[in-house]
Amino acid sequence: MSLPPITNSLLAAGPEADLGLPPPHGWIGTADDWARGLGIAFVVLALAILAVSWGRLRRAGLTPGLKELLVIPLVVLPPAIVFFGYSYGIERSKSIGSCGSCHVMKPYLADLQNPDSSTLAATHYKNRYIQEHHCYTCHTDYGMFGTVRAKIAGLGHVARNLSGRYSLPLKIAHPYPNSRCLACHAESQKFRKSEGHPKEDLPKLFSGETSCIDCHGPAHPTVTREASR
Amino acid sequence: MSDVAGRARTPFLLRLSMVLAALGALLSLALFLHAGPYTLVVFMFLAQPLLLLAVALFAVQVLKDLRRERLL
Repeated sequence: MSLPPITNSLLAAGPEADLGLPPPHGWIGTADDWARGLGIAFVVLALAILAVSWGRLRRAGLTPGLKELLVIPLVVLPPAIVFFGYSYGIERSKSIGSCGSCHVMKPYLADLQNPDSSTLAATHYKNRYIQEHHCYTCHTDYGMFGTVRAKIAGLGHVARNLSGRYSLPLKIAHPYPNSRCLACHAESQKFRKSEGHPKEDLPKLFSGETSCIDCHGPAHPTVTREASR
Repeated sequence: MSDVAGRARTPFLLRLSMVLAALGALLSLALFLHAGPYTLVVFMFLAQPLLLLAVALFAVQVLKDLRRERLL
């Protein structure tokens, strides 16, 4: 499947990239910017102190002053680095660029941005029904453990992509739950008043007996071979 | 003091702790510079344990020193 150039440029730009306007940053930057900046600063500080300490150790051995200095890179900075690493890393992993960084996902991203596509994902993307984190929003359960489950599933995706243990076309691991659609749509007047959703059918939708995808699919194109590298 | 003498006086655990902390910090830097699925996995499963181990080894060394000097 050949990709439109816009997708290649998106992927080349990395996970930061999106086709929309950049979100407002304000003059002071976002929490992401700060987590990244502070993380880099703490890593560089830790490495600098460790390098200086190593040199002193070789020259003069372990002195009381050096012991105290080592508390900074060995006790104080590691928790800070881990904290900012998670703050930044987990947030960035929600971007479509992060999902699209695996080669097998390229056709799905291309479809997402294809103005002629009528798949459910493309419709949501091009109309900006979801403002950001498009893949993540639809593929993560709501509730306390939704993110945790999504991250555990993500680890499995990374392992399979790395080992090549997957087959095309990709299939969703579990039936897509209606609750992910209904979290946004259930309370909207357009949904409630739609002739396609008569009141007597709503219980079936809410219980999952009828799948939203049955009528509104396909969610993504069927990709039977990988995009050319 | 020569390098050899300096190293001899430096506890092995402390040197190991410094090396592990440096490795953990470098792997964390990869995540901050290029966030993606692979760097996140490396951060979670390599960098974080290395940093934790570095802290633990430093704590063990401090406890050893305190016991040797009969302060504990």
